[in-house]
Amino acid sequence: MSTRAAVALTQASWRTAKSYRFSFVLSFVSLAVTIVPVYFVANALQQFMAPVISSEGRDYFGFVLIGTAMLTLVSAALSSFASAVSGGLSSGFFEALLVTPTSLGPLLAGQTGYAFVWAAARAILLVGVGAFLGVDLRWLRLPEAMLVTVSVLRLTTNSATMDAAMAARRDASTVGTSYRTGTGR
Amino acid sequence: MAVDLARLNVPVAARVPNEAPVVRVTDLWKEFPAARSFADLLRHAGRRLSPAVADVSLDVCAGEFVGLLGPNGAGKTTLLKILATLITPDRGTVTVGGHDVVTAAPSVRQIIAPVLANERSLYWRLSARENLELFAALLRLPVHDVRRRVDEALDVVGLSDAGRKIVGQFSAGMMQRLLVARALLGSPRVLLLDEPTRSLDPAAARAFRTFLREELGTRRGCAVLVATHRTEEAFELCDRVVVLNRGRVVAAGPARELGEALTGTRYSVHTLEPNHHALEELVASAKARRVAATSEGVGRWWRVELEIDGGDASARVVLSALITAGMPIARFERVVAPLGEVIERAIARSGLP
Repeated sequence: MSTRAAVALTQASWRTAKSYRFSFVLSFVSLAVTIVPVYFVANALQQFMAPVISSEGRDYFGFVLIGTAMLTLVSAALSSFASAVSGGLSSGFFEALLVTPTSLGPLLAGQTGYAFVWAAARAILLVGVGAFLGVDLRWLRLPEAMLVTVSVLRLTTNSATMDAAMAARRDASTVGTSYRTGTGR
Repeated sequence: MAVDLARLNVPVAARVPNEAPVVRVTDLWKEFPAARSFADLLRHAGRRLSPAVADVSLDVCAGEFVGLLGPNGAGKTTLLKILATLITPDRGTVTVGGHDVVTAAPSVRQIIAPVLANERSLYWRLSARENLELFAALLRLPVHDVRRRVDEALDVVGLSDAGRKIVGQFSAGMMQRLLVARALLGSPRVLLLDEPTRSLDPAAARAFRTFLREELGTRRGCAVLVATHRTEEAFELCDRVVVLNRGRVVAAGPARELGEALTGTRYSVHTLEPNHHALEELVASAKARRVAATSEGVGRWWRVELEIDGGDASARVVLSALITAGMPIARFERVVAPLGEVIERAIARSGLP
């Protein structure tokens, strides 16, 4: 796999996102701010929810926080492939990529790389804010958590790749072509 | 009296290829499923196919410009996409630099550079330089060589001073130039240009065509395929022209000869004296036939349309006679027939139904 190509595409998306400075900063700030009401609501529900989640630990806010962080990652894994392919096909950018000597794997990795990095940054920020607000995180179990996260992402990424193939096939039939990503001869 | 000689529209002399073609298309077919209504789908099972490219054969040599001229849906872009390895053909063979586009697509992509997509295929929030650096990575150029190649590409298209400017601030012409710079990064042997002057005004389009001709044809010796629906673009820019209609080749040949046969023999003279005696004498001696004379509404200028048989050589004789006789002429140019007429004439010549 051409790592250089994937990194170059991810960097280009990162620079594009960064160029919208206000929106970029605001997205981080809004994430940090929206978690505060969740903190108060979770604390209000703590006494009712604690028995329900007893097998997952007793801190309801921590439970919601980790779930939200995981949801951020899974959403990125599920949607980024299809949106990268369908968006690229409709703008013509994907065609410009496909006619380069770089193979399809690095192109897809590069097109979705930024979405994953961004989702990871949001998840880390969520966990960081949670830690600041007093969530009891067991850092020693971080490797296990990472393993579970990677396994879940692998599963969802496989589904997402199929979704992307369907998007490519649908878009390809719309314009009457059979792209390398979609239907063959 | 001023004669705009740049508008005399003298076609570029056809090159005589002296080596094996870089691009070879033989008996190419590509069909797509035809769009059908739901009711039609219920009545008739199975797919109905409609040919996008039907039995097309053509060769392109190094340094040669070949124009694909046709209306929308003629199969021009499909043909370019097949050459670019984006679409697989149904039948026939297509080779680029000796590599088959189906079985050796990666090798084809090393030597071919399509400018197929529009300006949306650029990152608008990045600078021209950053866009080119991205594609240098995708084209696998050596890391130590990227800066030099990017500088060179920007210089060639005249964007050296705009390298650090955001692409979103570029004019349409600058974006077209940047797309060409991107295509030139990998030093391709074959360039595919799809409607290269689509979003340019007439003056910018003419300047861009001159640039393409000099840089790609004369300096780099690239084989260039140009898909266009602009008649004047095909016949001005290209050495040879292939006229496509509904996926089929209806005419093909050297631009000069085909242009004279298909684009008509009509010329316009912009003059202050539409009834000048020299003009009357030429009409009387049957060297030219007067078609129409219309006032241009600016000053006392008139536009007189003439039919002149014998192509540009005869037109030069007529122009020379008018100037010698002292007729005040501001402009003398060939009136290129609209695409529809060109296609009709090509179909009539080919004998196709």
